[in-house]
Amino acid sequence: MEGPWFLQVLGLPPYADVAAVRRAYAQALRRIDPSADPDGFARLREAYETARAWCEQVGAEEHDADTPSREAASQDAQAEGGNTGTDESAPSAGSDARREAALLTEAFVSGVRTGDAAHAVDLLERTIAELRTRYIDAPGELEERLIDLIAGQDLPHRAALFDAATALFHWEDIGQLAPLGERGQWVEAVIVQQSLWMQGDPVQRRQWLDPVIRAAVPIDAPLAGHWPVVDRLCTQYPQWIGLHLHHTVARAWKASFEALATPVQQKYRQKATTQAKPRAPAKVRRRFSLPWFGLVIALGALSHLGQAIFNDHGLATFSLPWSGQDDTPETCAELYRQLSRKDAFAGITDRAARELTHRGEQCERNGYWHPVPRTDSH
Amino acid sequence: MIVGIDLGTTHSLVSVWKDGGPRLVPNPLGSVLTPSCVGIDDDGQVLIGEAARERLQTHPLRTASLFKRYMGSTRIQRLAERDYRPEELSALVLRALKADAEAFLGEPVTEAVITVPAYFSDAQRKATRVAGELAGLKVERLLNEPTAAALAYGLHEGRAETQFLVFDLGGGTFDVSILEMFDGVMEVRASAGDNMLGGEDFTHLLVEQAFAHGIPDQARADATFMQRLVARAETAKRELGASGNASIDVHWQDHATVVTFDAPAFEKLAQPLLDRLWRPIERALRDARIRAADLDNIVLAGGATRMPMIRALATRMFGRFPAVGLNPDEVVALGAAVQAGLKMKDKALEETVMTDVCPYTLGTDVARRLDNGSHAEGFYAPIIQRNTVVPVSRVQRFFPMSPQQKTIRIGVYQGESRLVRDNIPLGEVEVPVEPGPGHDQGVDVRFTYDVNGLLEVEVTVVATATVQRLVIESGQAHMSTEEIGRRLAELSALKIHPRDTMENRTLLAKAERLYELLLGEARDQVGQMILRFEQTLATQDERAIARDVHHFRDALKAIEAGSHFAPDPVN
Repeated sequence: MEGPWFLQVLGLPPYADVAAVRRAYAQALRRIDPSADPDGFARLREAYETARAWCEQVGAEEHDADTPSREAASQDAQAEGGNTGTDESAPSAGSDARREAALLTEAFVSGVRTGDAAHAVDLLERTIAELRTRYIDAPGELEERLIDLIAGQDLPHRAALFDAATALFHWEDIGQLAPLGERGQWVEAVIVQQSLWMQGDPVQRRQWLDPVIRAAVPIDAPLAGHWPVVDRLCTQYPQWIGLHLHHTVARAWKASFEALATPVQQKYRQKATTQAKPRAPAKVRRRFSLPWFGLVIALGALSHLGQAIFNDHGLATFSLPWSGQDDTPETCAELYRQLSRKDAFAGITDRAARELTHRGEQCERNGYWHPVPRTDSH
Repeated sequence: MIVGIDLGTTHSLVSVWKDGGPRLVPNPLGSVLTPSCVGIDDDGQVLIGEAARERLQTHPLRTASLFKRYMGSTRIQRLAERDYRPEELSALVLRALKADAEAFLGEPVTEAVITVPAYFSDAQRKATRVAGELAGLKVERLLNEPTAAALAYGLHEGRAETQFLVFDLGGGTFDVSILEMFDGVMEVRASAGDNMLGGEDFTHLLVEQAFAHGIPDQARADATFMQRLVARAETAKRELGASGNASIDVHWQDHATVVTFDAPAFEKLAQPLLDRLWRPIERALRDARIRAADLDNIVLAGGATRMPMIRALATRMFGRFPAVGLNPDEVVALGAAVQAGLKMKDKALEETVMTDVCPYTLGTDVARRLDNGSHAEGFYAPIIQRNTVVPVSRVQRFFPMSPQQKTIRIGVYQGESRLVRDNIPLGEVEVPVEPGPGHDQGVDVRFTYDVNGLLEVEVTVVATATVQRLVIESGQAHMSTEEIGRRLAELSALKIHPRDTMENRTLLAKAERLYELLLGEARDQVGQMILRFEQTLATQDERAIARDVHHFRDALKAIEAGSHFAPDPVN
């Protein structure tokens, strides 16, 4: 029989849909006793899981090909409306709870914008506790929203909120981030970068981070001289430094530095390179490793997006992932299709990959990250 | 014949697959719920079930309950003149259930499917299997309780394709499982839980209130008082559920207090416990990658889900009313019978298959080399990720830290924290690695987790191909084969009250409890009744006994119903 190995194991022809895969698996499972033949079961199980993932991918591609038009998009939106209809059939408390949760989330966001860091952390804790009394998915929805806001630099006190959220949402627990998809990858990247950062000399770390925390627009001349160091931090810890450094500040900083006389720039660059011992990322061997490393690699395989950013240690010029151009819903949808392809990043330069990734993130932040153009943002 | 057994914290049930369906087996008192209590009577004979439960208050030092909570630990309970391990106490309950099933079926029973909380650890599972062996039962399968509930529910519903969540709050444990059903396959997508959260904790809250209201702490040492207080708190918990109000009169020596509750006050008190219900549910949903809105149903299992506040909470959490239809006390046992039917390849179940998962992550500890050449220890390297479909076998290679290293120590842990100190240690093994060529090839560590939830660890030194198997031993909780044999012989030597005298023993135990409870004339009356009944028993005249049992039971029921005295105060 022709076709991929997993379909062969299931006794299916080279093409199959999810229903056929499930049926074939159900049939095969009846013929096998997992406790008597664990190897046979493991093989069947692997084939089944691979086949399901494969079907979903093929299905998604076909769906994309089938729905290029706006009409299809609106049909989609209607279908989704149908789904929410089932929610409303739940006790009326359900929709009230949803409205209350939305209000609580908004109150949290505006509360964080007006108070200090301690207030922000306290508010996060209280909001999660409150949301929990509404319905079970509510804290998870806040979690996703919070990641979007922090990654998009749309909130102050990001470092404090990130640390608090790490504890409150148990981000460091094994397997906690994988279900969050790209958001999880972003969190993972921050945590890994943070742990690498923490391995450095504390005094040195303080010296480097202090100007970043103090920095505000306009950047004065003495502070501008720190740029080469900050630039390096942005390269080494792109996601993590974003908790402390807003991209508008970074851009202004870079501009102030470039406004300095060339010899002065040279002097600061020199100083920055002598100051920093070239540090390879923590050398890890088996019997060994940060547990997240394995996870990061595994996650990276799921999507090229996060990995492209994360692997970008070799950046020389300043570039933060959120400094992309503005995409429209249509161009975002086009980009989504482009990046969903398996070979999306094959044969293109690092810079181009980074560019695509940045645009993708921007789209996502604007609520346009869908296979079809959608004008509603959340 | 394989029977299904729900070995619960407060109650146990036995069930069989018969005539194409699951059937619950009644005990000699005609009830399908047998209290998980064991007592030794004044003649040194063993009482199990209701009779032992009645004696908890009158003979607290000769009676044991809630021992499921200590399964897998070394905690020993002394009853009369002998020390009992939790496995042995469980074995005595299993033995009574086995006898009930044999009487029901009219044939010997030697094999069983026993349910365990999904979140039970390796040590707790092994202890449960040992308990089965000590009761003379070959444990064909350890089945996760929420999975059992799902089997019963799935069969009951008979829908072709559905996704649902099982919310299982028993006497001592909390489990959540999310299941998907398609084409006759029942697949557990994710399980999570809390091993130390159950209905008993809610009862305990009410008990603590007595001490917050003027009963001195010394009273805790008074075993009889404590058992009575617990029994009264249990009744109050049920009253709160039924009528929204309850009060407990407590007297101890010259201290007296009345603790009154209404439902909102109880809920406020229980808030810390209710808060602990969220985390496992959130984790299970997250691991199964579905939203609560995508679930077709919420299935309640475990007696504690009868509490109105738990039902209200579940309704609020999921924005819908949980499924009713199966009795939450019985659903796990029914599922155990379904699994027994599957094991026996019963025709009616030909089309049904079920797969389960490993509910927690299993891994080893690793050290990490830092920039400055030093290294940090205590990191957790997962080998089997939680919610992997079982059976599963995974291997990973690890390397020595230094070229001079002579041994590699492999620790085995269960848990979700990235630091091993926050995870549960299951055991460890040390393997020699010869310095020299091939030293840096390291060792292969293989974890195999079977359908019963039992773990096997195998370490292979790559260079020399020597294999070492790790016997998982959790502290001293592990029992060797010889010790199991010895304890089996000892347990067999114990005299257990025969099934047919069980009702008589239970009535006497109840009468004794009432006797101690009552005062004045009513007390004398019960005393007379006890004396008369014991005299009848001594004649061994079966017809006379049968006649008197009848009177005795009715009289006690009338007295207990409260026609003779005010609500039973504690002491």
